[in-house]
Amino acid sequence: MKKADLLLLAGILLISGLALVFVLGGSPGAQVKIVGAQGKILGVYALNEDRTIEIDEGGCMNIIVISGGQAQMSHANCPNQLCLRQKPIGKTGQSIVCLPNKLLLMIEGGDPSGLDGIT
Amino acid sequence: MSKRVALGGVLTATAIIFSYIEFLFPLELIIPIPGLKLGLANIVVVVILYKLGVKYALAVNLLRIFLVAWLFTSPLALLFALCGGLLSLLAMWLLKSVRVFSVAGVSIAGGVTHNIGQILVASLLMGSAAVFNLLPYLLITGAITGALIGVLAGNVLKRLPEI
Repeated sequence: MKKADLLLLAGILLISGLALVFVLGGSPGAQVKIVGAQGKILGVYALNEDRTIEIDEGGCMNIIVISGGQAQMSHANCPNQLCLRQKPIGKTGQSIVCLPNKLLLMIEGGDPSGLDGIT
Repeated sequence: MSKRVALGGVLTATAIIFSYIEFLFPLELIIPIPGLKLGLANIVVVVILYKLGVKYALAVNLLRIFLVAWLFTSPLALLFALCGGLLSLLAMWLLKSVRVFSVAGVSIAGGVTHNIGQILVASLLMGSAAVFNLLPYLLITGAITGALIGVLAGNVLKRLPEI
C-alpha cells in the first residue's frame, strides 16, 4: 500500500468512527416506531412499558419485544434472519432493519413532547 | 480480439465462482451487519480494470451480477448488487485515473462505494432514510475488506503475465 492508500483508509475510518459515536452516543429514546414498506408507519410504542408486538404484513411475519427500555426483533420469517442478531436498541436514532420483510424499527424522541397518550 | 473475448469468458466464470463462494459462506453470518461482504469477486474486477481496461471490467461485472442473481440469489439481491457494483466500478475507475492511489486504494474506494450503493437501494426500498444508520458500520467494514481485496488483487497483478 502507498501512503495515499493509507491516508484514504485512515480518512474513511475516522469519518465513519465519528459517525458511529454519533449513532451510538444518542440519548435514551422514548418510543419505538415500526415502519413497513413504502415508509408506512405500522405503530409507535413507548419503550418504558414491556410488551410483545406481532407484525403480519402480506405474509411477512415479525415479532418485536420491548423490555427494559430497549426494543429487539425476536422472530422473523425472513430468509437471512440477520435482524434477529442485531443488538437491542434503546437510544434515539438507533434502528434495526429487516430488509427481506421491509421492516424497520426506529428509536425516537428522548424529549417528553414526543410522548403522547397512544399507549 | 478473439483471445480477449475468450479471456473475458474465463474471467467472468472466475468472478461467478468467487460470488458463489461468498453466497455459500456469507460474512454476514459471523458479523451480523446487513450488506457486509468480503467482496471476493472484486479481485477479478480490479484485475480486469488494470489489465484490460474499464470496458472489459464493466462487461464482466454486469455479466457476473446478472448470472449470479439468476443462478443463486434473487431479483431483490440483483437490485442491490447492480447498484453497488456499478457505483463501485465507477469510483474505482475514477480513482485509478487520478494515478495517486495504488491497487489497494482503488479497491478501498470500490468497497466503500459498493456499500453506499446498497444503502441507497435499501433506503429507496424501505422508503426511509433510517437505514443510513447502518452506513458507519458498513463504511468501516467496507474500507477494511476493500483494503484486503486490494492487496490480494495487487499480488495477483504482479504475478500475471502481460495480456
